[in-house]
Order: sequence, then C-alpha cells, then structure tokens
Amino acid sequence: MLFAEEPVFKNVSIAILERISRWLLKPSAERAQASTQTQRLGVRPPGVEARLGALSGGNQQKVALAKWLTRAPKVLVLAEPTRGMDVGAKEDVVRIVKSLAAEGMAVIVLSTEPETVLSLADRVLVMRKGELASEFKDCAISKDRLLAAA
Amino acid sequence: MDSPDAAPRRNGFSLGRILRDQLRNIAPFATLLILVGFFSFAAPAFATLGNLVNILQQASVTGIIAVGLTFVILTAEIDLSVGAIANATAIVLTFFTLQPDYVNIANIPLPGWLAIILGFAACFGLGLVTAFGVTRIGIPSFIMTLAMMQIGAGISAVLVRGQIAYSVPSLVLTLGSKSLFGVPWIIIFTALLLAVAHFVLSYTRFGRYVYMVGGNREAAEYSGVNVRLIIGSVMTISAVCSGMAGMLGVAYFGSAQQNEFDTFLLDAIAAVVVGGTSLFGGRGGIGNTIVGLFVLGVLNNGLDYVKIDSFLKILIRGIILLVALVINIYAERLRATREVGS
Repeated sequence: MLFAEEPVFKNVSIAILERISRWLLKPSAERAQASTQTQRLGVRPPGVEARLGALSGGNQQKVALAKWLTRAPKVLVLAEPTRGMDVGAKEDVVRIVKSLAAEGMAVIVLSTEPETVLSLADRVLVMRKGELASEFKDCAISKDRLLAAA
Repeated sequence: MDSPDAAPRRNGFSLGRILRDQLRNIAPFATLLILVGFFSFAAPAFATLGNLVNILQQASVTGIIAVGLTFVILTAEIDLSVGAIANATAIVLTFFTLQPDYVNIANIPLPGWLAIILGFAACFGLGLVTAFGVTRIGIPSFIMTLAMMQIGAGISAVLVRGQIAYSVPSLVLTLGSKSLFGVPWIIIFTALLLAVAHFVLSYTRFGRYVYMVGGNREAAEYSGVNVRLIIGSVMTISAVCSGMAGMLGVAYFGSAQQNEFDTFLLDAIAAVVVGGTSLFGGRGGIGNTIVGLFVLGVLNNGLDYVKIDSFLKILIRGIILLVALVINIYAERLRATREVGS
C-alpha cells in the first residue's frame, strides 16, 4: 500500500525515515536510498521524483518491494506479489525475488497464481480451507499436481 | 491505475495539465490579486502601507489559529473547538491576573508568568483530551471537537459568569497590543509562528508523517508510522495555537468575555481551505494558509472601505467560502480523473 500523490522516493523512504533522520529530514539520503533500490529493481521510468500514481501498476508493485528492501530484511513475506501485473512485470518480479533468495534472504510468497508459485518456489505448501493440504519439496512440481492438491 | 508498461501515458508539456495540477495553488492567488485589484480601484485609501499593517494585524489572531488548523486539516481531520479553546484559554489567563476593582469576578491573581503558564496548561490539557478522545477512544474528530467546543465555552462561562475581564500579564499585553518600530508585535509573532510551522511541516520527520498520514492513512500505518501519535499531536498543536491566539487576542481586543472568539472558527477554517489545503488531507501547507489569510484579511478589510451593507458582508463571506470549497473539491476530482483517464 503506497502514497499515490507522493513522489517515488518518499514512498520508498517512509519505511526507513527514522533510521535516516531523527528530527530533520535528509532528502539527499532519502533519494540516494530510493535510487539504489529502484534501479536494482528496474523501476520504469527511472528517477525517483515521479509521482507514484503516474507509474504503471507493475512498477508501483516494484516500488513497494523497493520500500521494504531498504530495511535489508532477513525474511521477506510477499502477499500476491504478481497480482494484476502484465507478463513482463511478472517476469521482473520473479527474477528479483529469485536473486534475493540467492543472496540468502528467506522469502515467503503467498499466491493464488500457480505460475508465480511454480517459477519461484523451492518448497510449496498448499493450503485449503485454512489447513495445510499438501507439501511439495525437492521434487518436480507441476501445475497439474499443484492444482490437484489444492 | 493498472495501465500496462507497454502503453505508457504521454507526459508531454501541456498548459492545461499544469493548470489542472496547480488549480489549488493558483485559484487562491488569483482570487487575492482580483480582490486587491478591485479594492484598490474602488477605494484609493485601501492600497496604502498603513492599511496593509491594518490588514495584517486584523488577520493575526485568525492566523495563529489557522497554523494549528493547517496541521489538523493536512491529516484529514477537523478541529471545531478552536474558537472555544481560544476563548477558554483567554479567560483562564485573565482569571489568574489581577483585574481592576470594577470587574466583579471571583478571580485568583497570580504573578504574570504563572498566569501565562496556566493559560498554556489549559489549552494543552484541552488538546490532550481531544487527542485522547480521537485516537484512543476513536470518536471522529468532527464530533469530538464539537463536544470540546461546548466544554471550552463552559469553562469560559463558569470563570467569568457573564462579566468582562480586562487585564492581562504585561508580556501578553506587549505581544498583543504594542508595536516594535511601528510594526505590531502580534504581526511579528504570527509571522514567526507561520515560519516555524512551515519549517516543521517541510523539513522535519514529523512534518513528513503529517503529510503521509493525510495522503493515505492506511499506507502510513502499514509503513510503520505511529498514526495515532501523529493525529494526537496535531490535535494538541491546534489547541495550543488556539490558546496562544486567545491570549494575544484578549490583549489585542482589550477585554475577555464569553463567546468572544466564536467567529474565529469559521474564519480560520476558511483561511486554510480558501488557501487551497485539501480537505481530504495530504496536500497544501502553510504557504497556502498564508495566501488564504490574505484573501480573508483583504476581503474583511476591503469591504469596510467600499461601504457595503454590513449584513451583506456576512453573506459575501459565506459565498466566498462556498466557492473555495467547490474549487477545493473540484481540484481533487480533476486529479482523480487524470489518474484514471487521459
């Protein structure tokens, strides 16, 4: 959830504002942090001054991800990270999340899109009516088997 | 909002777009220029340096209240108790000041500095009550401050019992009614307060949170912002600003009585909204409020110069406020339609 009327950098820095400054804002530090993360995630258009509302849904999603990456979390929980995105943006998110996992971050993804789950997960837990229905681990996970379990 | 990457919106230069984006900033400024132009043309005595000082002085008490209200409205809340809290604080101040013999109030004279501290304590305390009601109990600010308005009026009534008090501590008397090299202290005080408020809103972490809470409260909450603390703070700031306006106002008007500050509620809200700060929060600021104060100040002052029926004056102020509200809502809607369409 973001601030549509505010520029990209304020949307990113809000998560770490208390780490950057105690009383007075440090806009240059905010921009630098935001710039680093949005470039890393390939937010389009580049640059952190654009109003968030002017970005596409996929890029807004990336900004949301950039916002929490500024805190360098050990565990990242993503709820429906690819919902409502076009194919290109989905691929971007999958690539980003995979690289984060490769760097050693623990990532938990909650998704109702089998494609996203299949392309991201090392281990899949299928939930049905609030209960664990089945688990896939270290084996070939196919869409058919996933849907059959759900 | 979910337009795909493949079809980016054209971001070309367009005068119409800039005008629409800046409507909330341009409209108040244009209104001010038109009013100044009209009154200067209609009444030669209007456009003089002496009258500028008059306008600023007349707008000062409203201005001090409007500073606090700007914080409140930026978070998309409202404070209807400003006038009553100004009144209650003013009367607390006079209650603890030695009054002339002919004033028939059972008051408790204390040293000036102590009376001032008690005045601040009164408005701060009332602000904390509002903050508690809004943030902890969850009463909408509109209703909570309506109750506080009655409580403020009640405190005033109980302390003065229909009488009028005149004396205030000398420091307050100086700031409210004396001048420094021809410039009234109250103008200097208001200008400083506006400057401090602008600094806080634009350059501090607290100020950023105020805008973010107003822009999208849920998003602010999910970003780790202590929304209740911010809302509680702005309600308290508003009460303290009102209290200062009340104390200086008594010195400016020369007396303290019940219902003295009733008209300042509408004036202060009008100044903030006419200036272009969004009623939905998150947009606007002290710059807008300053322009709004000038619009109201010029209007109130100018109407005296053109010898308009004083009853009509009330109606004209109402119409101006209505037009400002229409522009305020319309500016927001234009932004929204641009978001979805074009």
